[in-house]
Amino acid sequence: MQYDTLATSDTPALIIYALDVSGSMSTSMSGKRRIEIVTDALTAALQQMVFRCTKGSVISQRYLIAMFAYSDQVYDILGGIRTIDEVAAMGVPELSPQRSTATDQVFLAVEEMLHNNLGHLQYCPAPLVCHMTDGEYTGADPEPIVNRIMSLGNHDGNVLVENIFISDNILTQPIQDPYNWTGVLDNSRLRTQYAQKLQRMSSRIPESYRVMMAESGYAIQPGAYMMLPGVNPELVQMGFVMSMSTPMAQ
Amino acid sequence: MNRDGVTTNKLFKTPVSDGPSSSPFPFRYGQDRSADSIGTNQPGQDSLCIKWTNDRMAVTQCDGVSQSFFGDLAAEHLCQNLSNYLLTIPTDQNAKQMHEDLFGYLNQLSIGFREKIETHSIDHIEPAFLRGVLETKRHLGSEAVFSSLLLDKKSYLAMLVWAGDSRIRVWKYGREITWAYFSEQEFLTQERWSSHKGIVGQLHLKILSPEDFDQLILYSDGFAIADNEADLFQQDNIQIESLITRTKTLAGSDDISFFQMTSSLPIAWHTGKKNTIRALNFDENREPGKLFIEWANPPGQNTWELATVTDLNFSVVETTRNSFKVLIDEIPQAGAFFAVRAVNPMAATEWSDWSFYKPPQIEPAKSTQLEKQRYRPVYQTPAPVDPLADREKYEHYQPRPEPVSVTSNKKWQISLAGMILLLICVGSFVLFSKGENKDNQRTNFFTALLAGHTTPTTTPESSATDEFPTSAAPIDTATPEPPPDTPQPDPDESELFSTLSTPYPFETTPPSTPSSAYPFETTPSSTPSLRNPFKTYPTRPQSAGSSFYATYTHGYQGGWFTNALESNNNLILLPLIVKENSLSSTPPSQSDDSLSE
Repeated sequence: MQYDTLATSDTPALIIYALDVSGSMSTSMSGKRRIEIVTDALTAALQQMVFRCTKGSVISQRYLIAMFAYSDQVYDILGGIRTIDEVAAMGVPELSPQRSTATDQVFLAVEEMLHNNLGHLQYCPAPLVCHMTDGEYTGADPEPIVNRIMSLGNHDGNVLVENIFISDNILTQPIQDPYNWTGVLDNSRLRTQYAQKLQRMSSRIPESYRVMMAESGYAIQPGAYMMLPGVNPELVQMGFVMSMSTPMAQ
Repeated sequence: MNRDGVTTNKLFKTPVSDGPSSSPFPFRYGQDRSADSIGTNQPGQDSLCIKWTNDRMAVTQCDGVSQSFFGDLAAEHLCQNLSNYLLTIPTDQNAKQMHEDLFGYLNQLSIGFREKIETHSIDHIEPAFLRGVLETKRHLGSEAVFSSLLLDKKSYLAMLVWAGDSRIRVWKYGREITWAYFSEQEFLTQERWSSHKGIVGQLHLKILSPEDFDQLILYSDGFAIADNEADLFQQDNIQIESLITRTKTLAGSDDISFFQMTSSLPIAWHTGKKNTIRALNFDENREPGKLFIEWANPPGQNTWELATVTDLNFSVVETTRNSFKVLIDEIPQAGAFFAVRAVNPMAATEWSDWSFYKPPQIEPAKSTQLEKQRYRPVYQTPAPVDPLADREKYEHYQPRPEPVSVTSNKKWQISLAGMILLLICVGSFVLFSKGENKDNQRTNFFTALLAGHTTPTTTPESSATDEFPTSAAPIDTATPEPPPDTPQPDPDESELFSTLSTPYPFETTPPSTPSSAYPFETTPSSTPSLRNPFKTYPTRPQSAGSSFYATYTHGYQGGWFTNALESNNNLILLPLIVKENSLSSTPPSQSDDSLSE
């Protein structure tokens, strides 16, 4: 459970994105629609993944990607799990806001995907689920499902769950500089009950991820939760950087 | 000044071999590609260039930085040029002057090379997304770490120059003395030579005397597995080769370049025994489909060891005859290297030089078929979410609301319209079949139509539309998304009402990337089925993702000639690895620690 398995083409790292495309994602933040900020951050993350995986002109299949978008329904954007080179060939999907926020449904779909594929990934880095949302769920409580997901795992460790919560109303103290922010810790004060729920639904950052984040210039502290308040585009991007911080062979 | 030299080919494996005897110092060298590069048939990013004159030898070992723009280009360029420069550098200067000269030369070398990088075409590379990333890399430049050695007999000088984390190790009288001359802080990963920046970090230079050591080894970080091999300097070529092959099973498999020189005799990696076998003979015509490997049979020898190395496998087998038969089909298309030596209970002779055999190339289609047989699909596209079917398996699953399907409604409309049309036909037949025309001839609806009769009726379309209106689900799903500048709905309202023409959250038109690069060629019509959003995009081919599984089946659970070797006329079954270098059949790329968990 060290989360130190290197992502290679033989042992790729699975990252499952669960993206909230509810209607509120069309509201603006920092002069842009939230959905556009998420798309930009997702594009940057995919570019960074390809950057890391490219040797010469060949993309080494070190990442496996799955993407769910959810509103009142769940959509499998990529049609299952795809290798990073396949995702690069597809390009970044354009997302459009929908209606409600059926968070439980997307986590059910994620759980099912993990059940179907964990057998193939026993010697790979522990899969990571990156959930991005901007509002409370409108369906059933997703926490029990997330707890089940976090209890799954492979030789590298339990499945990691990260939450990017796009909201101004999470922390009592604003984050001045993302690069100096230490992360959501046990003693961090969260304003809303839903933020506290998301904290419970988030894994603690493994040390190997934290080191990779530090190499990217971030100051996340040991023991921090994999939960980011997306109050601006920089923090949303930071969340996506965290999702791809699997240790990787150079 | 007569120059001679050897340069490795980044496209092919160079098994560890002794250098030519014309060099002023005995040396051996080798190069191999990473498992990834072999799997994708890409060039390695290491370069090794050894050049010499009568009294001087210059060696440069470069490791292209894979995260830079085509690091193999930087490695190749630096390797050739620095070796040539070292052969001409005056050796009557002090260390500081030589450092300044080299620093200036390397920075100057990057200026010309930068132009080459900036004009290096990537137009042919697909997809466009990758080209974008490569352009970002181009902006950062092509980079390589390196270590160089200059040996000069006249001035009695041994100069080492390096930047980066390539390994330099020295021995004297069988004892490693590397850390007497070097420190770990001098081998930093971030130090390198860059096409855009020249030397990044520090350029390190160390001047020694050839008397300070008797063995010197340079290798790239891809051979880090050898860091703990204290007797590396005296392992024979076959042992080194087995070690190199072992790295292919590691998670961090990387390109490898290796160089060793000695300033003393006898040569450390030689056993001192006479090498009685110079080369092997290959005969593929004696028996169909089989390769005969034969070698000389000096008197007094009756046991032999045959070493074989391919891109991914290494093995040593023992036989009591001086020939082997191998099934040609079992030899990889890229070929195999063979070496042999005689052994007896007390000692062994030297290994012969490597002999290379490449089997007749088969058609690509046949090759593809073989690959498909070898691999099996790994990733299964998740089945469409069907909560009812999953209920038994996962009781916690709640049935999802069944979205209304526009497509299915249309089917109903067509079916009902057809039924109505059929009813009209039957009705008209009943109505007109008993009627008579003016000629007192019986007729029916169709003959009446032909005769110019008109029968008032309702068109099927209007009936269907009136009687079976479509549901409240979006109708015109083909309507494109509103342009970005379209005023957006109030978020509160949007949570309550769908203000979009389709609940499908993705653009149904491809992005601006070239159509050839866009994979959704088989994207369904612009009216995606809403019943099953998981089926909107084409499912993944069953063979996709095979490279992931390849590790578990290719090269680790059975050698290509596990069942293929024959000794003279008797087919013998051989284990993959007979010698101490047993390749594990457990899933590779994992440390023993993780397996033990």
